[in-house]
Amino acid sequence: MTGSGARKERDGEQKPKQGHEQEVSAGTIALAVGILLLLLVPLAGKHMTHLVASALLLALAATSFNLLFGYTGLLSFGHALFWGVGGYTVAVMMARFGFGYVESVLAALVMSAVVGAAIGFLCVRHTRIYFAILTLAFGQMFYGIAVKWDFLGGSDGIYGLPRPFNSLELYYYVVLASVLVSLYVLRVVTRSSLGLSFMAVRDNAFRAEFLGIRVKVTRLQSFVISAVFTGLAGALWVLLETAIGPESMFWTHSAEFVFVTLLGGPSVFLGPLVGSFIYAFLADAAMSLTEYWLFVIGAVLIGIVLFFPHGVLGYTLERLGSRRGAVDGDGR
Amino acid sequence: MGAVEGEREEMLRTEGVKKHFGSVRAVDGVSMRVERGEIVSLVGPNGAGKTTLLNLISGLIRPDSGRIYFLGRDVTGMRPSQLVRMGMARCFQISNVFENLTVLENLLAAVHSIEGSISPLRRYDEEEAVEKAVRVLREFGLDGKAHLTPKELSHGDRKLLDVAIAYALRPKMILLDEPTAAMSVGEKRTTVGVIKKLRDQLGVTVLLVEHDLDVVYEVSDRIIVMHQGTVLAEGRPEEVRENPKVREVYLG
Repeated sequence: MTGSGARKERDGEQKPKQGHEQEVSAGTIALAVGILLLLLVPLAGKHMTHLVASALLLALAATSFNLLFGYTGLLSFGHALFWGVGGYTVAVMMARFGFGYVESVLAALVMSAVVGAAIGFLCVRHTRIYFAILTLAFGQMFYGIAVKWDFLGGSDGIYGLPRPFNSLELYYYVVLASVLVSLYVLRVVTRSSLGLSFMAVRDNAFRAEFLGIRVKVTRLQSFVISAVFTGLAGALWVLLETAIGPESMFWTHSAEFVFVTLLGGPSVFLGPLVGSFIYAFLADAAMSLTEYWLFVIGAVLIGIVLFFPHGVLGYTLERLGSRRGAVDGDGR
Repeated sequence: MGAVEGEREEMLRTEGVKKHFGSVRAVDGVSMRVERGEIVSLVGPNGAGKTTLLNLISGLIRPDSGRIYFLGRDVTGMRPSQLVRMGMARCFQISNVFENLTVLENLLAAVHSIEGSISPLRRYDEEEAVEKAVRVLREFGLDGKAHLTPKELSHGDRKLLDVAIAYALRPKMILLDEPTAAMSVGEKRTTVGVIKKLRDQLGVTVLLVEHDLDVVYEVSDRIIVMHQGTVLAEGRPEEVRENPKVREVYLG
């Protein structure tokens, strides 16, 4: 698995800057334009607003997933369970106990951290396919619980929740702000000394131990951070949809995180975000064209994966500039 | 025995350390000592148990019986990460580094770990840590290659990087496993220089497993000859060189 995870994360700042400065500023401009467009989205109508908000939340979950996958070298195939834990916590707090949005979302964060710590504790003892299968099993277990437990609404889930401000447009800005701040926090983590120890463990856990790094503890830290932000994405998504059902924890949803990450490129911080938007817009377009939309998406995606080896963003940055552009031209 | 007169301070001691793999007695009751400031070489034919002994000392595997003392403390059964924090660093036979990080980042990972500055809120390339890392790279002549990845280094430089990472952990003692394996003559010269420098200028005690006897005779204060999991002979290079038992083992 670490083969597909041959990732680099470098820093351009201590390097001589020949020609590189341009790429960085181009990246910064792209980022500024992107944020501007995101601010204007509600002008494009309700459908677009809802679509972009979903894409943003998928992007947050996928970026969190990639902290564990791309940066720490652990492929979780059950990450939708944290999305579900966040989402169900909000739904239960509001529908069953009458709490407000803010308390409910905060509770979702705590819950994701607790569940993340417990499941992570059991999973980080294993790596590669064993880790993937174990997380998959936990994900399906939680899905099973949600389907059977009436308190969580069974297979219908919990629905009819109020949306904050009673306005999709206003809530869109809440989502946008939350996602941007979360991505910024995750960026800080990946550039921190903790982030470097994630990468050291990913590249060579054996040697990391001989650096005095406690490998399992480090993996667990990554797991919990990843779980919390995935949980936040799920929590905010419930308020967007005003409903949640068990399928949000089904393994296909976990696979979606894996998929969009590979699509955009796991070696670039914003790769999962780019992958999420491609996926969301593609699915939306295909769905309006044909009932065989899954087939259309499948075909397009196979093409992208085959012809963009390091993901769309990874590949594009490689084409645009030097090798360095490929690894840190992500417009920080 | 070969130690200097006067003040001797024990760095490492093993007492009757044993490790059997099935019916193979890889290490079969080894007692040895390394004094502070020494360069000690472990030599012996293939399968003599040298690397296994190194693995036991560095905490990679646990002995079946016997004790290991480091800096006077019983460290038998401690994990490598604990021993590293106590001041025991180790290099590997096949260079063992972080392939997708730059040379500088390889060093920074070591610096942050040993300084206890691993935190989600501190940039890994903060000035203080970079300075420390660059200082180490300079000691090993790798400062010009700070932004390359290990893949882009020559075989010799990769090995040097391995040693530099260990040295960045500010160890009191470094265990080197065949540092000159598969090296060119020129690279071997450099490595001999580095081993001497570790002790003479950087004050690190060195325990070395090495096949190249020229290198061993040149750098060692003391040599421990192993054979079939036990210590066959021990002494200064000139003593070991003249030892008939050693000649027998090496020449057949």
